[in-house]
Amino acid sequence: MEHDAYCMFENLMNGLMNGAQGVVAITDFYSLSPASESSTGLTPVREASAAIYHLLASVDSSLHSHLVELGVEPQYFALRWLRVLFGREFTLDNLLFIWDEIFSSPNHSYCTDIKNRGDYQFKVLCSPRGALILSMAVSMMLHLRSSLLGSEHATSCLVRLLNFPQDIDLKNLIEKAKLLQSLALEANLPLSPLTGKSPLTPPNYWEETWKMLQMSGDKRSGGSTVRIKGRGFLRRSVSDTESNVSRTKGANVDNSNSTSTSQPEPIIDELNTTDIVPVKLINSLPTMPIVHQKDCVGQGTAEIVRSTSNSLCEAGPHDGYRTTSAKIRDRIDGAREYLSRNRPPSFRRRTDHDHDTRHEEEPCVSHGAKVVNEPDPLSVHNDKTDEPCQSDGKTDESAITDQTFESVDCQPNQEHSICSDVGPSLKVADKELVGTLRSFGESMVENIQGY
Amino acid sequence: MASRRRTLLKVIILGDSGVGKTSLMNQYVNKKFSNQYKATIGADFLTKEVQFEDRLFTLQIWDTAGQERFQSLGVAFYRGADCCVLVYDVNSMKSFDNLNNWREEFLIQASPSDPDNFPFVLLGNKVDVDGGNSRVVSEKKAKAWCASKGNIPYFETSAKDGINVEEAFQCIVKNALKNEPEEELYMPDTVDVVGGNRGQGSSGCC
Repeated sequence: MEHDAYCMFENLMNGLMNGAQGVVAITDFYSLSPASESSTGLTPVREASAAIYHLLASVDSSLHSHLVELGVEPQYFALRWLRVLFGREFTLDNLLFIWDEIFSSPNHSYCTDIKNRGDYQFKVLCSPRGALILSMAVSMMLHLRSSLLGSEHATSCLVRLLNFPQDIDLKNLIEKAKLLQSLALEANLPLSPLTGKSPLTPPNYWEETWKMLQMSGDKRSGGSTVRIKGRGFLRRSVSDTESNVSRTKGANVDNSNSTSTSQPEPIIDELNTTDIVPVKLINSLPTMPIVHQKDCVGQGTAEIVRSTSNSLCEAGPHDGYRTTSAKIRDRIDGAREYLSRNRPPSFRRRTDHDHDTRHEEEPCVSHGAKVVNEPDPLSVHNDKTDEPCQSDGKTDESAITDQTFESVDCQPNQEHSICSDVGPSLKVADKELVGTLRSFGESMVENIQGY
Repeated sequence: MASRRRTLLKVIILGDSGVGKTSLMNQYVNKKFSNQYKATIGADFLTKEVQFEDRLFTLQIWDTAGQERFQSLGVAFYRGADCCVLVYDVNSMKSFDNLNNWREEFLIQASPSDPDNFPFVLLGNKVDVDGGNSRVVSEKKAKAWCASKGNIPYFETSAKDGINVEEAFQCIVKNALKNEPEEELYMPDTVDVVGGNRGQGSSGCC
């Protein structure tokens, strides 16, 4: 008994998982020197604290900016949260439930591709366990959201954060954390949209996939060139993407749970899952005036180049969480509502975002290569989302960037390899799926109308 | 005349682990003492409303873990400090010897504009233990150290029995205010007043 307890303790502290070195080792949280993989120069616990804010910014930008403005730095409270894994914040009874979740979450890197520093932003977020730990922290912060936002002084915020209430709905807290977990894994990917340069993925792969989908799908007339204008528009469509991504990531995680190295299978899974999107979009909301799309063919290219170069900088390993979070803040603003509403992603997407995204897509279809899509520099996950339109845009964009920035090499990227691994083989599957997916989309429409 | 506005005073307690930093803070704020040792993790703080010379302040007392090293909390944490309280255990020579390190490291991190005059207060805690028989650091020695560092105020305290705790924190407030620029107290009644106070600024205080 004592022996077992010690062994478990040791494994936890050293981050061992079935004898293999995992991502999260609690001893790191006590380390005084920066982790070797760190480029921020922060100690691991500081970096993990920063990752908490990074994640917070992506799900609740207003709370994040509120805390930042007040000067409430995450390590002031997260040191304790992380070092004893919330052991001081909950009663033992509650704590055991939380630890159950944390310890049952795998601690290996969720993608073996993640070797290079450029492939992720925070090391601690590279395993589902690390992601869950930080998600738990964010979930706790969201639980205090209104009182934190109501506090005008750092002191009162800290009082609340350092004295976490005991009378909590633990289930809800954990559920929220688990929802955030997939988002956390996602938010860890580099911000570069320049990801389509895998040797195995033809640059126009998504374009063609989309065309195929389009042809077999119903007619699409549409504006000439898509460009998402207006923040709200962008934000909403992006958050749509986000929930989508979360879902696929979730699938990925699930898969890695069983296979322990998530390579091709989970990826296919992901793509299949996300291929639902276009069909759903095609079939979903009937009409919606196309307002935003006309402008900016001209400025399009310039903007793309600009934003692409921006994102090149952003994706650099040196950016701190502040920069990135600021970007992400806008991007995923909507996800916060989603989380607080606690609805299944599909529901939300159907109700809120379909029309937006659909617009993006229409022109993609009819104007293949000319499409200038929003080169969302904020997007962490263009490839991952696998939403044809997004990826389509990305392809064009990288083509443009190729010309302009030939000297600039894009970051090595996990996302690439995901596409590359499955790209060609999927085309067939795509076709076959279309039928099924369309009916799926139709049933979604019915659901919507039911509301 | 004017209504007094509350001002925040930030006090940071430093010292080796186990010297009684948390207990001192708890005794002062909550008038409670527990024999059970529970290591502070990272940092924790308590606030207390204090009145000093007719003015009302919120004292924010940051209790840091003795094992903690400065880089974990970041410089912003120390920079805002109005007073730094150094604590040692009169029954532990090592905790006394380490005072130099704590002080120097604090000055590096907080980088106050006038390091020589930054307000420190030294507390020799646990004077109650064993009726004073296990004491290894004499009052004389402690006072000599304080003198060598620019006449740091010194108190011998017992968090357990509440000896000198109130007095020590009164002094801490007083010293924290030395560094406090006046302007925060007088929010603009008239423009003139504000301007006048700003003009006196630092010279008036020190």
